[in-house]
Order: sequence, then structure tokens, then C-alpha cells
Amino acid sequence: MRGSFRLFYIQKKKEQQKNEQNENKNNNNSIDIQRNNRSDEQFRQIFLKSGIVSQASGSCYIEIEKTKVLCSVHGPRASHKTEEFVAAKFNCELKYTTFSSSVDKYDYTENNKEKDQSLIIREALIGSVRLEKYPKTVIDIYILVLNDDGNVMVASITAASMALADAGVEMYDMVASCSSVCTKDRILLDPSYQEESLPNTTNILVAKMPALNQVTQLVQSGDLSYNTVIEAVDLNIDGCDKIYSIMKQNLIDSLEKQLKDKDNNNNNNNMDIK
Amino acid sequence: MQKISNTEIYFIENGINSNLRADGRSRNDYRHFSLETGEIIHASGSARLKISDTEVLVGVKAEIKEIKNAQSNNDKQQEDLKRFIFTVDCCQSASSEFTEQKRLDQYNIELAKQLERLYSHPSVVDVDKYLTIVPGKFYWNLCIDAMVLDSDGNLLDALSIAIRAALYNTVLPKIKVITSEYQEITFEVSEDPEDVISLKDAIENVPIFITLNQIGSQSSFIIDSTLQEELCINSKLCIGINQKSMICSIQKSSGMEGLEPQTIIQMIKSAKQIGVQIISTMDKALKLNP
Amino acid sequence: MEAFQKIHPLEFYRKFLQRSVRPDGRSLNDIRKTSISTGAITTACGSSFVKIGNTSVICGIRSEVGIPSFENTDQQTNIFVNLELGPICSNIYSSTKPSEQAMSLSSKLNSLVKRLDIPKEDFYFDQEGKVLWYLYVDIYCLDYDGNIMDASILALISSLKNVKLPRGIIENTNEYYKDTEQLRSLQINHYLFPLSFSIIEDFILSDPSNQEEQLSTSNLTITLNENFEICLLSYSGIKPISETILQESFEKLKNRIEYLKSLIDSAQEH
Repeated sequence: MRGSFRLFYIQKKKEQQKNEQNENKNNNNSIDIQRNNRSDEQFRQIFLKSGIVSQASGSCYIEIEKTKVLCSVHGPRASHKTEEFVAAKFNCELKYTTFSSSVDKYDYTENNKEKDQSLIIREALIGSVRLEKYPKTVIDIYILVLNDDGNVMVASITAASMALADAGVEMYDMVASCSSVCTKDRILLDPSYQEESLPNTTNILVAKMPALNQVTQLVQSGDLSYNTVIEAVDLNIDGCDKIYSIMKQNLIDSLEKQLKDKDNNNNNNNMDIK
Repeated sequence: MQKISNTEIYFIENGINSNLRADGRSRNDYRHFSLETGEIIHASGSARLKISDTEVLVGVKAEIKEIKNAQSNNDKQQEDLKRFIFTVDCCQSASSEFTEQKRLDQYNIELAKQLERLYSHPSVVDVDKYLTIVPGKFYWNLCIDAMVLDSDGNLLDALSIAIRAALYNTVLPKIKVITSEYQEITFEVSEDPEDVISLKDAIENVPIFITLNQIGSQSSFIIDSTLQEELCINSKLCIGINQKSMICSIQKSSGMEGLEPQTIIQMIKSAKQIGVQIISTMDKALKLNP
Repeated sequence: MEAFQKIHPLEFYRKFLQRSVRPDGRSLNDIRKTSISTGAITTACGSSFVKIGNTSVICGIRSEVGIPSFENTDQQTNIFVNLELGPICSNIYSSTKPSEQAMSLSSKLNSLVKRLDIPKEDFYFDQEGKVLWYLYVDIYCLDYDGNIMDASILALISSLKNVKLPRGIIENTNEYYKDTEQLRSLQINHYLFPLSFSIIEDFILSDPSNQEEQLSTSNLTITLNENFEICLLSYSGIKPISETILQESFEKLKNRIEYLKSLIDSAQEH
């Protein structure tokens, strides 16, 4: 095959033509996006499940409606290099599957976007882990984005934090995060892919350890006035607390389940001996 | 790598807690800085900035970039959209922190990445107006090479200020586009050296970084840190501010500790005030000495 | 007991196998619980998720449009399969260098695609076939607990059956559009039914787990279609195997075909 072409949706083209006609009528080209079944500050349904990768020390799978992310944690395991003695080395790697987006194309090798996002996630999480407890070891976090429908960063940070908890790594607190898209006059929490890719908008991501009331990551790109920034940061911080309560509940549930399973196993073993 | 003793940390932290730093400044004071433009004759634009012992030199080189195939894959397209290419080079002699080559390389890349992110938003420079030769085909690419000659802290802010000044100083030759009969496009560069386009007006919205470092107690933070102070940072927030006091970028970086929400709001507020002040002083100075 | 398993895994297994049972409670011929679901990835034009015990793989198909080169058109394929064994599925794989195992499995999967006998016309973007659809099948292993081959083959066939291609529209000779309101699926004429075995000493274990694969001296994978024709037969190991073992293995797979067929078919309905 000799190169591939860019494909466009015929529906979009028709829409565009319609929009152009409308624009000619009234020069009103403000971006307007309708959320069908939720308000601007409402989250989509979140589904969390930890401990699903049998070969990893800890793992977590998260679904924010169509956004699907899997994270596994290896470690703390022995470091090959004897670089750092005092504290554990902390690595984080995010990868998109080649089919995770119908618009963006991803390769098998790591591209710039993935590198950037890996760094942001690492920065968000590193403050929560008690690295000094694990000298001469490495903790590796691997994140795989299966389906991208917006808010991938939040899903990744949440999943990674849950996976760390699942691996039994000592932490000060779990990191909850929340992101939003700011258009001219609206702040949309938990944006979908469509909302994230609107032109002239700004993304804000906040990651926080609620129990310590500390913000571990704050990223914004794009122009915003001071008041909007403050408002958006406040909203996101509240959003973090909401995500945190979901994470906490889930962690308790999965622990209870683990204990139950263990009990059952023990009972079975006892019966075997009898 | 430079090390600092616990007593020194104690001294600096306590000084900052009582709003008095080792060099006599208060928490929100910037050191005096001097800015010179047009130092490198062969560059399209250049600037040298000195803040105390921190010295950076920035050269801008303009290149014509041809976009060949609009239907290439996405990653390449993003590459094509980049009008600013940053390289940062910290001289090994600049600081004892830079002696290890591997760490130095990483640090250089990190600084360049942060600057690139600041300039990545389309609202920074009106590309269509200032950097387009033939729409969709030929553009000006600005290679921005920054050298750190000497370091006494606050490198990112210094770099961003110097780059803004260098862009102010940048002139692009006027270009005539000639289309030959086979649809081939050739350029004719105007021979008159005075006949140039200045990017003076283009940098109106170009932001600068204000880095706020949290040291000591949770609510105390400083700007324009010295090398000594940078060794006891708990966490820092880099905020990009432009002339209209818009906040263009925020990123928390290199710090094991978190920040309290109230501190962050305070930080953004002071970054806004200080940033606008610096930009307006800078613009005034640049206008006086073209 | 756990210590014994860690220090002397082979001895540990031998004790179990002599009593015709495996440490996880299965008999030698038992196959772990297998489940298939499709359509989970909305951004792909076809997808499937396969779980065999702990082993799980996800498969997504990306479609691209291109003009075929006109040299030896008969040999060209429009489907490219790749298997990724990343660090996410097990700590034995690293992200920096691709694993050799993944590459050799990928080439096997690529050869299996040709056995499916999908008519050429199904890949036409326009009416005449001057512009074609190309499908990139990417299989990501999410959890590696042995027998990745069976999981990948099942994922491949189920996701291909799940493919929905939009109708292509070409305007002004070089503007390509897709109409997602008119979807069609591929006509796949054959099934693929895989079954892998590991041989530890003299014992033949169906559907080996990760540890069993590591202890085994040789591995055998058979893939049949619905007419009991062999699509893929691969054997690797240090000792040769007798014809009777092969015969037995075929019988085991034949007994399973009906079940696998119903699994693949029912996955499409939901």
C-alpha cells in the first residue's frame, strides 16, 4: 500500500456545509456544545476494578463510560542498576493502543504526547508514595489506554493510584484527579473527547491528595483570565473529592472481597486436611 | 551535584518565613535585571539577560519551512504545526549542578519542553499574520537557541524573558513569491537590508514564566529564587502570564510535596501581578531602545 | 507448600501430575473458563476481548484507505496482524525492546488470516476496487498467564467477525468520505479453532498456564477450521512426539470445536 488517505465523515461535511450557510445568515460563530444527559459539572459513570492483572503486583481497570484504561504496577522490585540507594526509583509509562482513537493515530513506539502525559502522571503520583521505604528498588507503572473518549489523564491517574494501593505500596494518601475544559463562558467537568478537541478551549487538570489537602499536580494550557482559572481550579478540587470518595469506597469493597476469598480458601484447606 | 547543609536550610527557611531573604529582598521582590538586544549580528534576533549572576543569551534564527504532504500521519502534522523550535544549552561551567553530562542533557530537554509548551497555544503568536509565506505550504520557522552562560537560579523565568526580548528584536526579510509555469514556487529575497518585517507587534501576547517556589511553611513562597534557595524548594509552580494578565499555562513541577489549594490561589494571584509588572517594564524599556 | 512450589516447581508439579491433576484443580485435559465478548472498543471498527482463565487479550481493528500497488495483486493481503506483549501484561516483558515471542506469534497469526478466505470484493472502498480498505489488527495482551496463542486466535477471528466498515464515498477524485450510517460486515468463510498443549515430561497438558509453559519441554498448537482441516500446526520442543500423541490432541480439539463455535457466534449477538 502506498500511503493512506485522510478520511472524513460525510455527516460532518454535511454539517459543515449547513453551518456555513447558517453563518452567512447570522454571523454568530460561538462554540456551543450541548450535553445530552448531564449538566456541566456532572461526571459520567465511573467503573473501577482493581486486581485484575494476575501477573502484576497491583492493577486497576477503569471505565469512564467509553474511556477505558488499564494500569498495572510492577514492584517494588530489585533495581538492575545501583544508581539510587536512598529511595525507590519511580517510573511511569503511558501508552495508547493503536485503535484507541478514531482521529489520532498512535504507533507502537512512544510519541511526544505519550511522553508528556507520562511525566505529568509521574509528577502527580510521586508525592504520594513513600519512596524512602523502598531503597534500592524500582516501582514501575504501566498504563494502557484502550479507548479514548476524553478525560484520559484523570482515568490514568485514578487507575495508577488504585493500582499502587492494590500492590500494597506504602502511600501517604491516594491521588484523586479531575479535569475540565473551559470554553468562553462555561466550565465543563469530565470532558468527552469531542469537548476536549473543541478549538479555542483550555484544559485544566488538578490532582490532589484529599486527606492531606495537598494539590500534587496542576496543569493548564491555553489562555484564561485570572477569575476563570480560580473558578476552574476550585471546581476541579471539588471534583477530586468526589472521585476520591468513589476510589475509597472501591478500595474498601475490594479489600473486603479479598478477605472473604482468603477466609473461604482457608476453610477449604482445613476441610482438605480433615 | 550541589549539596546544602541542614543549618543552611534552616537559615533560609526561617528567613523566608519572616519575609526576609539572605540578599535583603522580601518574598515577592525580583532582582534587578539588565536586558540587551541585538548582540548576535548574524541572528535574526537576539537578546542577553542578566539577573544577578544568572546570564542567558538567546538567538533566533528564521528558516523557511515547506509543508510537503498534508495527508501524512498525525504525529507528523503536529510536527508541521510547530513554528517555534527550542533548544536550551546550559554551559557546564555555569553551575556546579551541571557537571554530570547525563543530568545536564535531561535538564536541557526539560527546559526546552516547558518553553515549547508555553508557546504551543495558537493564541501566543498570530501565525497567519506574521509567519505565513504561502498559506498551507510555506511558513517561517523560528529556531530559538538559548544558552545559559552562568546560573544563579531562576533559569526558566530568565529564559522566557530573554526569548520574549529576542523575538521583539527579530526581523524577517521581506519575501516575494514567484510561481513559475510548472507550479514551482521560488522566492526572491528583497535586497534592501532595511526592507524587513519586524516581529515587534507579534509578541504582544507572548507570555513569560513566573516560577513560584514554596519553601518553608506551607503558605510562604518566593519568586526569583537564587541557587541556594532552589536547593530547599518543596514544590514549585510555573505560571505563564501575558501582557493582558491572562494566564496562559500552569504546571506544577519537580517537587515531592503537594500544595494547599489556598496557597495555589495566592500563588496565581501574585504571579499575575508580578508578571504584568515585568512585562510592562520590559516593553517600555524595549520601546525606548530599539 | 508455597515454598516447595517456588523452590522445586518441577518436583511440585510431578507430584500433582502423577495423580492426573494440576495444582489449580484442573485435570490434564481440562481447559480454563473461556469467554469472548465483542464491540467494547468504540473507536475501533471491530474489536473483541478474550479471556482464558487469567489470560486476557484485547483486539482492535483500525481501518485505513489506500491505493493498492499493481504488482502481483494476488499475493497482497489487506489485513495486517500484530501482537503486542507489553510490560502491562507481565513483568517479564519490557517496553523498550519488542519481544521475540510476540514477533513469531504475529507472523503465525498473519499466516492464519489467509486461511479465512475473505473475498477480495469485501475490501473495495469504491465500486471497482481501485481504492481499498486496509485493516490493521492489533492484539494487546492485558494479562499473560499462558496460552496466549489460543487467546489471540480467538480474538482475531471474533474481532474480524465484528468488523463494520462504513460505505466509502469519493468526491472530486481525491476527497475521501465515509458514511457511518451505512455499515457492512466482512464475509468470513471459515472459522479458526485453536488448542495448545504443553508437554511436561510424559504428561500432555491442554491449555497450559504460564508456569506450566515455563516448565514444559515442548509446546504444540493445533488450529482447525470447521471442516476439521488443519490451518496451523506448530510444534516446538527438545524431544520429538509420537503420532499417537498428535492423534489424541486432534481428538481433544475436535471435541471442543462445537463449544468454541457457539462461543464465537454468541459473542457476536450481544
